Amino acid sequence: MPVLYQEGIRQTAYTEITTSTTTTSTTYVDLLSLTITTGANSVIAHFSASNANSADTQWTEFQLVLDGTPLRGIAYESVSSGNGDSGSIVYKTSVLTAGSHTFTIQWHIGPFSGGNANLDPSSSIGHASFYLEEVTV
Amino acid sequence: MPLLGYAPYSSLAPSLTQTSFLELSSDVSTTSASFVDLISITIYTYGGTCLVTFSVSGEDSANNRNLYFQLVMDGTPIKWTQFRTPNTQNSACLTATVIPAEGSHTFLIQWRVSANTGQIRPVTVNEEHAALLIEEVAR
Repeated sequence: MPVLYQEGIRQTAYTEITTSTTTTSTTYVDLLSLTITTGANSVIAHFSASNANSADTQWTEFQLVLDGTPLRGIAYESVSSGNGDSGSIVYKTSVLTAGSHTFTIQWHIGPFSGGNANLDPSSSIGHASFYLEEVTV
Repeated sequence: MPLLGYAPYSSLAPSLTQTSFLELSSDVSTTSASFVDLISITIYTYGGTCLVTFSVSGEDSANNRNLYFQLVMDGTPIKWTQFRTPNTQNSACLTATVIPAEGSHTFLIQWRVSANTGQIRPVTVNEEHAALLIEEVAR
């Protein structure tokens, strides 16, 4: 039974944080990951996040990683403890080699302020969502 | 015409006609308090819905300054976003859908600062970037 896709979009993949997740790491650690098998096509990645930090003027950094190679990153800062901020990444790869590819979102907190970063999707300020589209155009 | 091996989901389903993606490839800065060009894409569209996504992460040379961004289509500003930089970088995004008539159209992101120097440094700072994606979906 062939799988039918919309013309131009070969497949999509999506994941998000579903439970409260915290990091105190000041170096990048994995947050979200999607592994897909693609043809020789490009992949568009969309990532968005909003989280709180436990320390004043603490910031959170994220990076998009493809098969172990960092591609693009963002950083944002909470003005005061308990407050959040948000950011996003949009990126389109060059044409990939057909096969399995792993897209990862990594995150860490800034090295100077201590505390932690918390992504709590049950709160009013927390989410992290990661969406991929394999495209033929 | 569908590509070999990619059958359309149905003749009535929207399909992705084209995508265009551009991002900053060099470090840039501005001291302008009025909007100046940052990044733009000109494409020929076919009457479909264009999904526009812009993401940015950058900073200002001083604390507690704002960076403002606007999406301009064919010379007309249509959407705005901004962020404030308490001490370090911050981030913003913008999405919009428009249905331009078939023809050539320019999607432009402009930016300005509230004061001091705004910076986006994708070359020297891993956590800074600016990227613009256009996806045209046939109706």
